[in-house]
Parts: sequence; structure tokens; C-alpha cells
Amino acid sequence: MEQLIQFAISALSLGGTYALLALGLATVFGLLGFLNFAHGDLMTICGYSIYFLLAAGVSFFIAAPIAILVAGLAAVLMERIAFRPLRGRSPMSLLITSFAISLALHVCFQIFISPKSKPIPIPDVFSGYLTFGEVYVSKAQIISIIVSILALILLSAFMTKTRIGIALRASASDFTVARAMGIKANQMIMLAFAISGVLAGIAAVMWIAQRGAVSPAMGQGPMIKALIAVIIGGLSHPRGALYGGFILGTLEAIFLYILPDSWVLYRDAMVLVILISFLMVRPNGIVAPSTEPMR
Amino acid sequence: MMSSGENVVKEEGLVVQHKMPAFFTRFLDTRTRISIWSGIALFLGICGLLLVVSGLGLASDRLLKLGCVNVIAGLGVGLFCGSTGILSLGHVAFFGVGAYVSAWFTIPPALKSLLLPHMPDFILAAHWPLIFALVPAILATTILGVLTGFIMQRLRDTSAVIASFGFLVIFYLLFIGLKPLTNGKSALYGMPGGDVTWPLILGSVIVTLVIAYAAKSSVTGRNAEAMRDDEPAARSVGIVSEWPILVLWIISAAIMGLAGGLFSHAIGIASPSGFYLEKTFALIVLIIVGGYRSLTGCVIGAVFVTFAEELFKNIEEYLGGFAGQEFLFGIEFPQVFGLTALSFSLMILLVLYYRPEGIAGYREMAAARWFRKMLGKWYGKVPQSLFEASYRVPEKAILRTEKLHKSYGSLCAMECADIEVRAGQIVGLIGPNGAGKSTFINVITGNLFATSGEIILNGETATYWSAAKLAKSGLGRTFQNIRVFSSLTTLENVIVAVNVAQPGLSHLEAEMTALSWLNTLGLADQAEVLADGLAYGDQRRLEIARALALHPHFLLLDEPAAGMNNSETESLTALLRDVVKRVGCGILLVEHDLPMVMSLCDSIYVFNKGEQIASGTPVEVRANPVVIEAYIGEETSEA
Repeated sequence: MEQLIQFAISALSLGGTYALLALGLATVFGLLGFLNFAHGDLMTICGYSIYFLLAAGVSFFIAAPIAILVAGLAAVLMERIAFRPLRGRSPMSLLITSFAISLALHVCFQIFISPKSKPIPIPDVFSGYLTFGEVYVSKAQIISIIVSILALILLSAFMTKTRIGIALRASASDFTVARAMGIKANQMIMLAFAISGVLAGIAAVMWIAQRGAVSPAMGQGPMIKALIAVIIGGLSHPRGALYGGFILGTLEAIFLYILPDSWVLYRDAMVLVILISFLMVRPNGIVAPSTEPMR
Repeated sequence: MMSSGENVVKEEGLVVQHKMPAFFTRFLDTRTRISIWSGIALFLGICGLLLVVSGLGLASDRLLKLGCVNVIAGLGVGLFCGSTGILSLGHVAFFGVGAYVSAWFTIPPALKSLLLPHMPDFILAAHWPLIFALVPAILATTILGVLTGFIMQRLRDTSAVIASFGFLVIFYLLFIGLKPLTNGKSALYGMPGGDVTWPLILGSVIVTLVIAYAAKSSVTGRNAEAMRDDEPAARSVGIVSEWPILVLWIISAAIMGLAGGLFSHAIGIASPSGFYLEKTFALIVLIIVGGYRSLTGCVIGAVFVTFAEELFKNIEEYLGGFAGQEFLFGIEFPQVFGLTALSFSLMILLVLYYRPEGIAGYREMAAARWFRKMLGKWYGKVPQSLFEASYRVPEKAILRTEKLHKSYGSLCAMECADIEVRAGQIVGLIGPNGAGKSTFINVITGNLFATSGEIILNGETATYWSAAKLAKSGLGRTFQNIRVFSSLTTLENVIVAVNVAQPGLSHLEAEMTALSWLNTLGLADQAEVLADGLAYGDQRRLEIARALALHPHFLLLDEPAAGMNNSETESLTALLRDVVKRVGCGILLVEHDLPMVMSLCDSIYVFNKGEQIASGTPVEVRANPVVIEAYIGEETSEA
């Protein structure tokens, strides 16, 4: 029982983080039809913002929200500088561009900050364990679950209750028609990038809170998994990203428990193999598009 | 029926061949000729460049060899990405496997027992020359290519890119993790660099060029390109689109294995980080800058990347000398890493902004006009064979639907469609917008599943056959919104279908058959034009030519006259009559142009609001009050 609760908590906390990342990817995909490979670097940018803010003496609880906003801003800038000139080109061009940006950013972090990882002092709230009878759960995990669920609720409220959120959903379902209805394309795309950046920022804070360091490649690992999660979930609907994220989290948590220590090196590889093999059964992901598959 | 058709083609084809002058024209079709000329030209180009660069002393021997390895790797990636249109980020994984597996057999046994102590004895004892060690390397990547290919063939677009990226990550993690096989992050070294001789390198380049071009000019290669341009259309001419992806994936994986083996020996080390993002990125730059639609582009890209990489590395070393010094207002000059990656990123952006098709563009070198002119009559040309491709549909052929029904949830799109088309008949299907005509066409061509009811083709129940199977069994179709294979030539569009209907024909025979179909449709003078560049009416006729080349018993035409003017419609009408007379096929015509339908059809079915409301001869249908009501409303309306 204790094991089960601990397992559920790590599954939820990992899944929540991946779901935030995957949702960010899916939001941009909904409008422009490409998955942004530089998404992970938004996490890294958020991480470095926290690092520098802390170094400037700002408290963590002020630094984190600012850093999340910085990530959102960075996403918008990325769109403005790199993706907008390519508007109207094939999604594949955008994808390759994002790959290039990701690598360029990575190199810039190495050159201008440091190739080594930088420590980030984490406030005590995140460290230590809570005990419920026999069950020990890490505070960081609990906080990460709460934050990601809050973020998901807020996002869903924004998307369903506000005018601009509904406009964004309409654009994702059919951009051409949405624009014909008077929705501004640039505004929507910027909004989508801002949301994806903020979500990546939140995920980054959760990530850092459990690891206490930031390095140039920090965003890469989670981003790669989030990319696969989006595909597994299905690209046609943001709900797919959510499912994909939590499935990925659960799988990782399972392997965390069943794999002997000597096998930990292979954990990520095994998770990826399982996820990609799943595509053989459902190439369009869990939430497949409503049109019938071609025979 | 089929066999008699082929005989006609063969006999008359031979007669025409006597008139052909050039050697190449006599045995080879256009695509093969372009491939051979391009391959020869590229190889000579590479050799020339090597001689010039080494003669001028501009580059080391090692760099030139690495350049050739890049060419091989570029051909491997470019063959897959260019032909299938799927961007693969996973090929470096095969590259790495090739590097490691070949190294197992060439590292001196004394060193190997230190690096890989847990290897089985026969590998520990092996001390093969590189040329033999490449065999297991290629074998290993081929096997892995088959395994991963089964997944890749199911995926398209973004999913395929991400999945291939997933393979890259998985293999990278395994390279690090499987220490008994790879020595993990400590890397493998001690491979005999002397084994990478020029004969071996150049031989590998030749072999790769031959394999890549053979794959490109094979039926599978062309099918892959057709599928890349338009998958529904490819299925409609009977191509099962998974197959070309799988085959090309495996071939390209094998080529990557070869490149990897040569690479690790040329640089003398194999470490996991060498087979990850940076290498992948270099390969992407290679195919994007050069232009991945053509193998020519891949070779040009490889040459470019090799020299760019070297240049940036030198600049980086030069700048490294300044690291730590003050250069401006007290700011320290940072240690510069990854200048190559940075410049490559910039280059990708520039190429995508200004020339998305890459330096070489979409067509092979030998397809260019200047190349043709240069070779003159040696180049050869499409034979002007003017025999008439034909076939005969058996008179008993019949296509029927029984109570065909299609609904989406509670919404009924089509109810109880009972239609019968016999060989030699032209049957019209009309109805106002939203009548269910398109649904009917989609169900009967295998693009939607019927909810209930049956499709019976020549006595066989074909209700749930795939589009490709229907196409092979005698159902040719055209599309309402034109679907041609836009980056193939007009001629090749038809060849694709000819290859499906008459798999026994040689390349040249297939090409001449296709040409004769084009001739029938009046498109022969446009044979070499890319289908994309055809006029609207010509594209419609090309679709009909392509469908006819399938030797269909029944031809389903989805609004063939849409967007045509009166005279075009008239010539289309005459053409369809002529086709029916000549081959005896049945035609099911879905059309809005009522005068055309009335004048052309033997019988007409009328649909309205998902229901079949009338059928009969044109005269009967025209007089039917239900039909009149459907089209222009009730006669008496109470206002």
C-alpha cells in the first residue's frame, strides 16, 4: 500500500511536469503544425533566469514567477525572430528551424554562461519529506503535483472561459476560418508561444526544485520525452498531450520501481522503446483524428 | 484480357525500337538514363574535386577521406528523406552502429581485450581488415533497419520525425549504457586508420552511388516519390504506401552502416557523443543546404559541409588563442565552443529563408537542360513510339452496390445506394450539393468504410477492400480536387500506374506504354513537364490517363468537367465516348454539368439528401417529377 501511494505520487509528479511540457508543444502545433524542438531550451532559459536572479539576491519565490515570465517572453521573441519570417512555409521547415535554434541556444549557453552546470539553492519548503503514518513522500513531489494541477486548471479555465482563449481554440481547430472570422493571426500565434513558454517555465521550476541545478542541456532530456509524449497522445487535440504526458510519467515511475539499480542507465531507453513501439499499434496516437483512417 | 493487352504492347514496342538511334535510348527509360548520367557525373566531379584540392595542397588526406564518408552518409540520408519526404533525425544511430560493429572486428586483439573484455572469444580474437569488418557492420544496420522500419512505415510527417528522433536518443543511451559492447563514454579507439585506403573509399562511394541511384530509379523508388507527393492518389493507383518507406529505410540504414564503419576508422575513435545531436545536425545541414529531393543535392551538400566544418574548426582554434584576454572595454573574450553548430544554425535559417529547395533544387543533375545539351545525342531521349496502348475489358464485367449505407453516428450521409454499372456503359450520378455523391465515391473507392450494404465487383464482394486493392482489381478513379504527383513529370505520373497494372514490363516498355496513354489523351508533347506545371485542364486529363493506365474495368470520374469551359467539356465528352468504345470499360460519372451528363450517359442515378431518388435513362430521369422537385423545388409553392 505504501509503495503504491509512493508510486502514484511519483507518477503524478513526473506526469504533471511532462504534461505541462507536452501541452506547450501541442499549443504551438495546433496553430502552426510543427513541434518546437527549442521548447526544452525555454526551460533552460527559465532555469538560468532563476540562477541569475538568485545571484542578484532576489528570493526564490519572487525569482521563480519572474523567470517563468521570462520563459514566456523568450518564446514570443523566438517566434518573432525566427519563425515569423518562415510563416507559410511547410511545417517541416519550421521544425528544422526550431532544431537549429535549439542547437544555437545550447551553444550560446555554453559560450556565454558556462558549459558546466550551475547550482541553484532550493528553499527548504521543497526539501525533506512528509510522513503520513508509514508513507513518506517528498515535499517537492507534492508541490510539483499541486502546481501542475493548478496550472492545468488555470489553463483550461483560460481556454474555455475567456474570449481570447476561445479564439485560440478556434484558431487551433481551423486557422483559416478563424482568421476569416476576424481573429488576428499574429496575436494568436504570439499567444500560443507565450502560453507554451510559460508552461515550459513552470515545468522548469518544478524540475529544478527537485534537482537543484541548471546546465545548458537541462531542457533537452525532458523535452525529448515530451515530444514523444505528444506523439503518443495524438497531435489532433491538446487532450492527447495531457494523456501522453501522464502515460510517460507513469511508465517512468513504473521503471523506477521495478528496475534494479544496475539497470537505471537503460530506463529512459526502455521507456522510449515502449512508447515508440506503441506507435506501431496506433500511429496517430491515443486521441486519433475524427476522420476515418485510410484503408 | 490483361495478357492480350501486354502482347500488343510488346510486339508493337519492338517495331518502334528499330528507329531509335542512341544506345541509351534503346535499353533504358528516361529515369534510369538520368540516374546513370547523374551518377557518372557526380563521381567524376568528386574525383576531380579531390584531385584539385589535394593537388593544391588545400586539405589533408584525412579530411578528403572524411569528405567522401560524408558523401556516402549524405546519400544514405538523402535517399530516404528525399524519396519519401519524411525527414529522418535517426540515421546517425545507424551510423553509430556501423562504427561500433566494424570496430569490434578491426581493433587489435591485445587492445580489444582491455577495451571490451566481455566480448565473446571469436570477436576478441578477430583481427580483420576493414573491408571485411564492414560486412557485419552493414548486416547489423540492415537488421536494425528492418526492426525500426516496421514502425517507421506506419508514421508520416511530424510523428515520423519525432519517432526517428526517438531512435536516435535510444541508440545514444544504449551506446553509453552497453559498456561491454561499446566501452560507454570511454569510447573505442585503436582502429587501424591505415585500412581506410583510397581504393576502399572510392569503391564505397561508387557502390553507394550505384545503390542509391538504382533505388531511386526502381519502381519502388518512383512509388515512394508518388506517395510523397500525394498519398491518396498513390493508393488510388494501387500503391501500398508502407512498402516503399520500409524498403528505402532499410537500404539507407545499410548505407549509413557502411559510412559509419569508414568514419570511425578514418578518425580512429568511436564515442557516443560523436553519434548524437551534432552529427545529426551536420547531416540535416548537409541535406537541406544541398537540397534533399535529389541525390545530386546530397553530394553537393556533403562537399559543402565537409569544408565548412573544417573552416569553422580552424577559426575556432584561432579564436581560442584569445580566450581569457580582454578585447573590449574590459570584457573578457569567452572560450568559443561550437562555432560550427552556431554557423550551421545560421546557414539553415538562411537557406530556408532564401532557397528552401537547397542549392541543387529538386531535380537530378542530369535532368537539367545544360546537361542535356552538353551530352547531345549521347543523352538519349524518350522514344517517340506511337503505337496505341490498349486493353479490352471483358463484356461480363459488372460493378454493383447493394443497399450501400453510410452514416456518421446518427447522421446519415448516404442511404440505400443501389447502383449498377456494366462494361461499356456510361452511368451518371447526379444530385444537388450534399446529396451524398462524394460519400458514395469515397465508399466505393475504399476511402471510407460503408456502414452496411455491399459493393460487388465482378461477382466478388469488395465492400471492405483497400483503395490499393480496388485499384488493382479494376477500379480506376480521378479526384474532384485534382491529385497528380506534382513533382514527377507527366510521363512518370502515368508510368506509376503502368507499373501497377503490368508489372512484367521492362522500364522502357512501361515508359512507352505510358507515353502512348499520354498520346491518347493528347498530352504527349507535355511528357517531360512536371505535373505541377500543367494547365488545369491538362491535369484533369492526366488523371484520366493515369487511371486508364491501370487497365480498369470501371472508371470513376469525380466531376471531371469541373472548371472546364464549353469546348473543353465537349472534347472531354468525345474523349470519354472514344475510351469506352476502344477498351469497353464502364464509366461512373459524378458530375454537376447536367447537359454533359444527359448527352453522355446511358443511364442516370439521382441522389438527394443522402437518398437515391430516381434512376433510369436520361429521358426518363428528365421527366421524373421527383427529380425536378429536387433540383428546382416544388411546382406549386404556398407563399
